[in-house]
Amino acid sequence: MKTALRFRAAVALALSMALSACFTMNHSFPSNTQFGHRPEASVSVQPVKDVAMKNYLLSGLLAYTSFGTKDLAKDPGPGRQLADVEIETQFNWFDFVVSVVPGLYYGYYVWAPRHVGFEGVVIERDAEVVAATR
Amino acid sequence: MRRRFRLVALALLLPTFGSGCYTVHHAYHGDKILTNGPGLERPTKVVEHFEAHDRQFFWIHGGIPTGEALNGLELAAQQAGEHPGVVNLKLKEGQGFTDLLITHVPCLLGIVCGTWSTWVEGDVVEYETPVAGR
Repeated sequence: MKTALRFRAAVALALSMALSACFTMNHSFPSNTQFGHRPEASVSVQPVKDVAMKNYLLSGLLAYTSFGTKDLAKDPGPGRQLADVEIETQFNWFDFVVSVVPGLYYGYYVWAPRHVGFEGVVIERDAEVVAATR
Repeated sequence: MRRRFRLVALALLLPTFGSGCYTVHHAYHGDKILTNGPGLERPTKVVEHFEAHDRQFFWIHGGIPTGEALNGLELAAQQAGEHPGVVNLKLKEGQGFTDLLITHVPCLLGIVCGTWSTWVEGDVVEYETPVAGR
């Protein structure tokens, strides 16, 4: 009996670990986005910034697709790109309360939000990007 | 009974006040070029592919971060070394298996402490023709 219980506990622990170990956020942006150093001979068009709540299920295993989740940065269009991009991930009060309080920490496994924001500038430039050779 | 209830309430309230909006800010203001695109405006050659990881330890649900702040873009720029920049940059953050183990087991579901990680991956590039002044 004890062995069976221990086995179940071990399986439950392993399963929850395996499921939860994926709480990673990929910060993806439109192609040719520049972080930091702005390209030479570029013209700044407009500053952009946005913040969104990213929602995750099962401690991050799955991202909710239609519950407050949206793509942060949209493609600025042909001849334009994002530059000077900075990203901020915040575990703010709301995220904390949602993750922790419902169900005395079990809420974290049901709904785990984070607030992710970025800011940068849309630039225009004539030069084409030449793919690096290997 | 009342004392136990108070202890539970305190245990819940402490991290609530201490959660203090754990924030990760990815920013880079140096002279390296960091892009998620396949190349730069001039022909480049890939010098090396890299994958790097950094981890931050914090107390009380992120309320008291310790050590150097996480910054994936700074970490990517460090990988460039003497070279002008990084292309095909991928940036992500969250909790990997080790973070999860630390946060959930010895840190008691993050109430006492925890860790958060950032991962970067990309290609360090060098200009195929040297740029004047560099």
